[in-house]
Amino acid sequence: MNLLEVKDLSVRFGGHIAVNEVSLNVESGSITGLIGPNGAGKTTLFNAVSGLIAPSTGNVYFRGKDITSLAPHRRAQIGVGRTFQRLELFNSMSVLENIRVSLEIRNQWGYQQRVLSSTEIGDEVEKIIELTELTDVQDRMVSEIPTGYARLVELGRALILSPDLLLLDEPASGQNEEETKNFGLLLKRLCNKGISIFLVEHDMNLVMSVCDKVYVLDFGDIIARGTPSEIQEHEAVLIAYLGADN
Amino acid sequence: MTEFITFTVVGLATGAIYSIASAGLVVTYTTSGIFNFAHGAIGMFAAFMYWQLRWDQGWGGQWPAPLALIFVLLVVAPIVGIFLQIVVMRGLQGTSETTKLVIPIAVMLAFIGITNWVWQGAEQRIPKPFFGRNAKWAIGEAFITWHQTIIVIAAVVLAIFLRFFLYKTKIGVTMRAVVDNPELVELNGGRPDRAAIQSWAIGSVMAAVAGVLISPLLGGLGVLALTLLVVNAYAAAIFGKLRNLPLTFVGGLVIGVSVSYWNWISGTGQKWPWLSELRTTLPVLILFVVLLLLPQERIRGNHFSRTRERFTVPTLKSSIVWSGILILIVAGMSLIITSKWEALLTRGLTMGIIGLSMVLLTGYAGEINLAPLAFAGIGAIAAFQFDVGSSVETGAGFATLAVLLAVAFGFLVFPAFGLVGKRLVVAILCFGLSVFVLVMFFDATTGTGIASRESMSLTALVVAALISGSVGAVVALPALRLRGLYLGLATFAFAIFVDKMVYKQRQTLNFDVPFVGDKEDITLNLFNNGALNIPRPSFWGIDFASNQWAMLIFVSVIFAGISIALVQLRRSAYGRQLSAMKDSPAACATLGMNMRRLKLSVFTLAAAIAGFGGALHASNLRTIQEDYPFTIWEGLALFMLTVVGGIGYISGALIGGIIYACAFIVMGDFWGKLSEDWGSFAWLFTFLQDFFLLLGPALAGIGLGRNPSGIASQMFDGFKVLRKKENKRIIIICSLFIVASWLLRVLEIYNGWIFLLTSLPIVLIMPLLAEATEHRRNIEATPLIELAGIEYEFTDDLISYLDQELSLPTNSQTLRPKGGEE
Repeated sequence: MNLLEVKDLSVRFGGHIAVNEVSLNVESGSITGLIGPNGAGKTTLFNAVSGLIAPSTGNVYFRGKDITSLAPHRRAQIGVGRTFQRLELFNSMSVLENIRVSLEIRNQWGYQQRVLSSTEIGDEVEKIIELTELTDVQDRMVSEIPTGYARLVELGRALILSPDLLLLDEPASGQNEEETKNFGLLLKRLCNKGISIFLVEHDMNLVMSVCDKVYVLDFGDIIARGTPSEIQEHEAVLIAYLGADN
Repeated sequence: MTEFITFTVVGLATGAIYSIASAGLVVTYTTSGIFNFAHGAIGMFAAFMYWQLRWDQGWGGQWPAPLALIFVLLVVAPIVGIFLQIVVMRGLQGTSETTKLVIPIAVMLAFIGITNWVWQGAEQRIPKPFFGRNAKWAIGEAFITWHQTIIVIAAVVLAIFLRFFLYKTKIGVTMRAVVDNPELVELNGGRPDRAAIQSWAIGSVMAAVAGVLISPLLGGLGVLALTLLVVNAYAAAIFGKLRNLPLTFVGGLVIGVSVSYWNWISGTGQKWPWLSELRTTLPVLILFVVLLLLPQERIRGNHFSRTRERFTVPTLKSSIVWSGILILIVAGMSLIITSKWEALLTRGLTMGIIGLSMVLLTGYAGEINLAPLAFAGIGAIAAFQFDVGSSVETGAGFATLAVLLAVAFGFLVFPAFGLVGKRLVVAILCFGLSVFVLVMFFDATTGTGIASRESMSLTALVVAALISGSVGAVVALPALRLRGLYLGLATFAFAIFVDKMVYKQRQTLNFDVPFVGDKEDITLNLFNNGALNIPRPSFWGIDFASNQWAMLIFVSVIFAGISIALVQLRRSAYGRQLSAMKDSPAACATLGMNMRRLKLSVFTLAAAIAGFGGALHASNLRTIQEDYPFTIWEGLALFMLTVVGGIGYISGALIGGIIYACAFIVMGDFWGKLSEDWGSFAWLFTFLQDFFLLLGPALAGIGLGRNPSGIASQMFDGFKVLRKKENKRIIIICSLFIVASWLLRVLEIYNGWIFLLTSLPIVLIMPLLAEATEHRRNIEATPLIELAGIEYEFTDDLISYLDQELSLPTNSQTLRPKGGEE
């Protein structure tokens, strides 16, 4: 079943077309990758899906429901979580507070869930800190921790909302090989828990090892789609990444 | 038809001036990213300068018009612009929007101060229009003056010049490129710095042209009136979204013509006395509406928090301790200072309470409000009208209104604190009930038409908070989508609106309260002919009216109470959410935060605190007037000084309030006294007195560029060393010295100056002492190896350690000096 469906979505900035009539879908319980060279429109597409920018044309469906005109916070409330390529942490707070405030925000959604007590919030936050292996740095200010950790904080902050769909924008950049490998395992675990993941990533090893399906975006157009192995062989992809001469 | 042509021409002429001024504003904004709040003041300054050279009978006067014009417009104005860019604005890179707004405000106040200083006295300064008042030509029966004609021609010429300059010259193209990407311009060999200087020079010239052209239309030169008139141009600049010059020109004309037509329709404000001030308020109303109609700004990321400002959050315990210390210090001071100083200090503290509203709104939540004193003024008016005041009788009508307000307040604010469901209902009901009890049993306004009570009840403070909170919510509601500069401008427009339409309102207003009889309806005369008398409170048998010290301590206790509540709020889930919203709106949105609800609640709460503080301030002063103390200018000064104090801290509000109310007066008094005592240097001391009184606040604001986190953070850094346990002894000993000095002063063994001269140095010396002892401790802990054998013994252990370090063969056990480095 399609959890997320993007239909003929275009985003224009003045005369520049950042995303051009893109259609794609993310199936429930899967990890779907979105790759493409820098400036291909990946983050713009994510912004349109999470509601931070309004698309010029086209629609976004979540669980079959049209959410194109829904405010970003309402999208988060119905289960669309995300992280950012350019880190969007709460810099005046510690790692723990960043994750805690996220749950406190959820605590005020005010419907379809029980209001948690302060102790319950503390317990939940601890669980997420453990899951994302942030225990060592939990009391440090987020502005002081290395990027790799900071990306995990963003992940933890999104995870604590128990989203159904997680949009991850280059979550592994700033991580070393070992960390990326562990991160891949974490993604698999999350997926097994029932969270569907839509992943933008430059690290091809990660994408190819975890994704069930991959889309390739270039200059705002989807130029290929398929399983990781199909994508690796795809001619258009090779041209987009390596140039026509190669 | 003749009237139509006349009013159209008048409108086009004023509109053209707005266009010129706003074009200047746009040019500087686009190249430097700074909205020049001082634009109006520069125009005003140029108008005075021109008047001095052209029309004054005294120094420098009677120049021929072309010479005076060339000097003012092409020499003085560009120099002013270049000076501002190099000395002040360049240092603002990487600061928050609050700082970027505050420093131009400081510059504006500086220009107002300088002009007031140079052109002192009540002398009428009347600039004449070009070619005199009678030089006119006619379209049909309508006459058009040459001055009006020149204005329109100047606007057209400048528009063509700007278009040509920005698109056809190299400098202009660089300036436009800087807007898009300064780094890229630099990489391509362009110089963004130079482009910024040029744009400030051009902007300043445009402001000067507008100032010189508009001054003859006013009648007489007035510092504030002229500054505000050019402020009308801000609306035009927003028409063009601060970028688009043609739209900006159109915006200027629309504003000019609208005002002119309104004058025509309303018989220059005679027809509807209620709205008589609308002719001066219309441009800011247009500004407000245009801001609301602007296309929705994208939710932004957190480049905001990568700024130089850093604020830390105190613990609840430390806020309680410091509040106690504050009350103790204030109580101690009240024993040794005269009632004049007590009055000043009380003013500082009440202003500090209003400042706390800004700490909550701007410091914690990152939302800018340039109308803190408008809300304070509304609070004071509410306290007058609904408690001590003239028109409203306590009864079912008033009680209904108060309870409705309380419920609305609870509904807006309580859910944001995490109260939901049953708990929310109970909280709102309890709050409504307590307000009902307060109003029914503690408010006894008689509705006799004059100030009917000798003291203000505490109900007044609560009602003041509720009413200004509600007004805050009503203002915030449409402005919720605005942020940063745009929100600042919207609140600025509101402040001007309150200045003109509320404080100057002389008509009696009738409100039909629903569900009760006509007798219970509320009829009030908003600002009682330009002054409101608000008596001091009275309870527990304490006479606050004649004992200034009692008022001082009462106010300090309230300040301490609100401070502790705010710190607790900042440390709660609510405070973290405010902080999150300030750090990254984009992340908040994608975490499901309803930012509008949060903003509305914080705006309401902040406005309520400001209203509460305003009522208290008014009651301390006993009288408020239409032009003091809650005007837009005072509000801007307080906002600026709170930012200077450190808007992220409670102590920032305290420092801001005290600087605002006392510091410059203290310095002025100091120099004033010296000039009395030392007659031969009177000129110097009078100069210094004027300097501090007129320019002090502005200079404090401009100095902010150096440390955008404010004085409070600087003090915390300076005194940080004292927080260590080892330094407790120093604190105790120094405090004892201060207490001893205070005792000697209480016993009148010496006067206040000696107390000041003994205690202040001790306070300043404390961190230095602590640092010195710490330094010594460090040296003792890690002895310098070079001092072995001199300061301490040359042991065998040390020898073997040295051997090992130098890789020499050794027989002894390896050791290193006590505490030494590895």
